[in-house]
Amino acid sequence: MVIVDDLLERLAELNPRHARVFELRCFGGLDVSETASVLEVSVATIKNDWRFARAWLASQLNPEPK
Amino acid sequence: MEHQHQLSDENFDDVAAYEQVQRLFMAAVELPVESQFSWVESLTDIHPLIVKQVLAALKADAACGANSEESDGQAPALAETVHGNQGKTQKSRSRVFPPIPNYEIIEEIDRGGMGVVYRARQHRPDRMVAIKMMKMGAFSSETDVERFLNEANAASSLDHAAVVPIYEVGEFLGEPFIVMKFIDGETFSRVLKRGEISTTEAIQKLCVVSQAIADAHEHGIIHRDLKPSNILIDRNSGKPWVTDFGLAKNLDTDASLTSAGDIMGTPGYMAPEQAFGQSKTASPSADVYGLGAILYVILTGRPPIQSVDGDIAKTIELIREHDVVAPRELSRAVSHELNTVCIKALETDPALRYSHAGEFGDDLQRCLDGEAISARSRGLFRKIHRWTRHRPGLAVTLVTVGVFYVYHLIVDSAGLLPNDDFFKTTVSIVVLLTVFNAWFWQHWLRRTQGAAWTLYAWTTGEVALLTCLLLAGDGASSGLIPAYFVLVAASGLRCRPMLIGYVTTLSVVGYVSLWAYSARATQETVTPLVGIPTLLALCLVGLIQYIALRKSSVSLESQVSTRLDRVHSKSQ
Repeated sequence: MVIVDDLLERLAELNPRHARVFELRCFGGLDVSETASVLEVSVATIKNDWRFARAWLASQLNPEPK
Repeated sequence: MEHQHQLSDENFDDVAAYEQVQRLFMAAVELPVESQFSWVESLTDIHPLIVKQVLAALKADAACGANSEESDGQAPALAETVHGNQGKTQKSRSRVFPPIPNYEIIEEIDRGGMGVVYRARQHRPDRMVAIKMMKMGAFSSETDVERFLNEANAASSLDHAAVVPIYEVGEFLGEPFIVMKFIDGETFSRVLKRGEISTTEAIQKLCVVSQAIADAHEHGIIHRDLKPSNILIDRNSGKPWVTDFGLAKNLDTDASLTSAGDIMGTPGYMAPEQAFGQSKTASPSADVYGLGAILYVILTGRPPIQSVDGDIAKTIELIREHDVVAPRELSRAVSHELNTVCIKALETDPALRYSHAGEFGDDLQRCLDGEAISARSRGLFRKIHRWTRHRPGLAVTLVTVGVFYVYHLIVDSAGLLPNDDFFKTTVSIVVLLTVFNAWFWQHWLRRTQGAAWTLYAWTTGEVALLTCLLLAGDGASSGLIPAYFVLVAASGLRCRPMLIGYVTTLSVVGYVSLWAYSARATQETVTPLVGIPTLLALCLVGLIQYIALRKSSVSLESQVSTRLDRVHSKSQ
């Protein structure tokens, strides 16, 4: 648990918006358009942010997925 | 690309590196799947650490593809390759699964007010599990989360063949979750709904569940939320498993209300003492009630308490009258023994229920084996009590008329009454008519399910009969004048403010007509010094009853409506 917390914190340092997108979607249960309206950016941006933030976090969590 | 060569392992600008990884990643995912990796690997002028990160991110992205709605086009193919080994392709969903370390969430299997249940694969040890993530906002405070985790910890100590074992209790970013054995099957409520299970078979499963609950009680753990949807039936062995032990305890009361919809809205399995808001004091007997409620569903196909949609008055009545209809009244196929066992478990008073879940299970088993059960059907006193609860007006009338008639007989035999046969006959006829009046309208009240006009007709009959009796007797100076007060006061019990006004008016009319009649017919007139205070007192009693009723019903209705409001606003 601590690892994910640390990773999210690290992500927030690297790119605060990515961290927000991840939090909102993953723990807030918002969908893409809701997240876009909360952060006031375009849906396309959220899609890109989300896809990368998720991939980055996942790659950091399990450096070598099975 | 000059600045990339400046990046060395010692001097690594994190933010710049992150941005570069992102740029390359976004460029790569635009390419066809099969050439993504080779393209990234071909970028020789990029720092190897960056390349490594991009490749890792791409791999992770491919693995995530199955549950992401954005990766349209190429996603279905990916999903199949990733999840093909599980033998099913997943529907693409917009839902995102939390990346809990050491677990790979495969699919959502259930969603309720308390949270979401996922089927997941644990990596070490490699096994299938069910993960219950508690819903955000299910708890009102941090300490509640802590208490919840403690409770889940306690429940994880249970070791019974019919209790779903808890493997891990943890928190993921502040949200508590529970990892349990994955039971391949469906809930008991679904099994019952489909109706493919015989009553005997269902009761056998309930026997097993009762023993599991009894075992838990011995370890000091109370389930608190027993209902068919908290029992899982193994698809292969047909074995029942009890789940969600003690989890209802520390939830925000309103949240648990919404989730189970237990008191209002949806059918309830909750014991009355829990439903009345004392859920934190629930004892093993609350679980006995839960077991009884499950038996009730098995026998009758519906829960013991049924919802009354949006009707506050009826909901209040339901909560007050919480006595359940006997299963045998709903279905003649239910045996006397099962009926008795079921009613005993569902008694409103916890002290009258089985004191032990094991006793309930034993009695159930005896029912199946055709042996004599330990529970006695309700005693005579309980039967009378129940009868009067359902016919309060008739019961009160019977008692009142009985008391007065006995008084009349005593006075008569003592020779204190004037030797007036006409009066005595009238008394007997009025008594009989009053009883008949009460019985008749009580019957109609039940048949019409509480139609107001029956109450008006009923009270009209009562006031008219009393006036007749007094006319035959001493008129306005009779010692029975206080009976008008009794009628006005009694009308307050009907919980209808208008009815009180009606009865008061009728009584005043009755008294005034008696007064006028006696003034004309007999020498014995009532002076205004007696008559006017009597009339005033009658009106005042009516007014007092009216105010008392308004006060109590306003408080009761507002209580219920605010609760309902909260439930509705939460569920939206």
